[in-house]
Amino acid sequence: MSDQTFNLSRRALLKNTALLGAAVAIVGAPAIVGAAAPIRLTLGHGASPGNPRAVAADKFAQLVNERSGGAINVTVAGAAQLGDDAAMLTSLRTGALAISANSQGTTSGIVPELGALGLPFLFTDGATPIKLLQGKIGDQLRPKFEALGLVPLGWWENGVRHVTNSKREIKVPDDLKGLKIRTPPDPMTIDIFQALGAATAQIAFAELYVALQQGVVDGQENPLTNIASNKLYEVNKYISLTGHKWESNPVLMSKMAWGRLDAKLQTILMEAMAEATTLQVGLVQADSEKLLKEFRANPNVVVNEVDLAAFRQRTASVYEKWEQKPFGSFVKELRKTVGV
Amino acid sequence: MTAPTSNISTARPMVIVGLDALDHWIGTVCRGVVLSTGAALLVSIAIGVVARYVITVGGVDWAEEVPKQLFAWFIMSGVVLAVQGGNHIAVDLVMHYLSPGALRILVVLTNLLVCVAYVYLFGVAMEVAELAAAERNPVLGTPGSLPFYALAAGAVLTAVGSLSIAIRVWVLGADARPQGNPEDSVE
Repeated sequence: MSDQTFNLSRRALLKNTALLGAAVAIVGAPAIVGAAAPIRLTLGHGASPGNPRAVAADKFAQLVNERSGGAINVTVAGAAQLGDDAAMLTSLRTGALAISANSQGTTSGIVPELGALGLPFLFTDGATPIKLLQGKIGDQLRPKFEALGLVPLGWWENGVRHVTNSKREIKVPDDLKGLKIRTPPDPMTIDIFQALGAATAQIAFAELYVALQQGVVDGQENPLTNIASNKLYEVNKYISLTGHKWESNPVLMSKMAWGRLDAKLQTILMEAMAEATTLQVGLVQADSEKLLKEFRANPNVVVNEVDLAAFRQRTASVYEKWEQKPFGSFVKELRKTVGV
Repeated sequence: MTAPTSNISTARPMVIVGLDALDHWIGTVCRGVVLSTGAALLVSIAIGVVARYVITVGGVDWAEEVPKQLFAWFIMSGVVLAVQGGNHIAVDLVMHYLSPGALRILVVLTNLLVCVAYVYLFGVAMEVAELAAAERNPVLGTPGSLPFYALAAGAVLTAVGSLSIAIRVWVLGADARPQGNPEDSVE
């Protein structure tokens, strides 16, 4: 071993330290940038796997995650994992949840004007109302949501609703008498079924299958896609094609979460929502036709047509009732726009 | 400064007399709420059952919604009464091994902690009530904030009840704490 002394000048020490620091910075930079935490957004909904809402929610999350380059990480929590629609609405307003593909009935509890879209037989398919919600009507509703701390990201289609029950075929309104029908917590649906002579009970959608199975209620009303994805036909033999109302699925974002995104990320979100909406609306329309054929072919299910004229006549009073509400001018304008 | 010694049987200090009156008033109000909401719950549920299974009209819409609105008031009044009576579930691991002085301090601190927690819960309940005020119940049309006010009121009264116990125990000793129903205890 040599007895050599190691001399290091101050200049050399500083130079080497600077070089070492630069090297660490160059090598470590990608790791440091990559380690920047993405903005985590959770999207909650109440639909079961396979439902168009669930498929579109997954698509939306995938698009945002890809296009934001990891800046946003959207996680989907479906099947009411984060509570029913009412709980998710409250969570959006407290900032505990970022996004929810909610239901029209529940949301009309905070923006009652939204319920008017479900006026009986106002729409027979989703094309017209979705166009209205993406335009004139949606523009009128937006400030009402914003005042409550919510940003409407998009409007999905829940579909045209039909009645199912475990007792009998519903052909005329009087067939509903004596039946207890589950409705969402939606004043419009309750008014329609009161006009038709049925009793109603408001039960969360996630609890509906068990409620029907145990006889808490005799029947319910939902689009065919929901009847299929939640397997409600297993506990309700009779599907009556009443088509009594159409409903949307408002996709709402917490204003707090929206405010955390810069303009570029907000654009990515809106573009992804537009694509997911096209997918979702297309799926509802395609699935509805396919499912109707499947239900008709199913020997354990009875599908019947109804006397639509009788249903329309019996529910006409609902229009008058809703025009008397504090937001009656909105209802009249909606009717005028649709031409009903 | 030393804490006053245990003295329940002799003349009661003014502060305790004041607490007796306050607790009595709170207990009377809560018993009234429990009885009235309990009766209303029973009647509305009975009407729903009769409408569905006896006269088979399916049910009565308001009879479905009334119990959901009253239940929170019924429960929170019971919570306050249970605090006053020492009937809440508790697991006592060390209380039997403590000296009277140490037991007194433990009971006082426990009740002060409960008091602070429920004051915080009151604040949270009021915030949520403010948010829920925009929600309307579909049949009755009442605001969604009403059950949260039950939570807030119950939280305040629970905090007052716990504070009352803490003061009583500090002044009179650990034996002054509510003992609960012996039949509900598991040794």
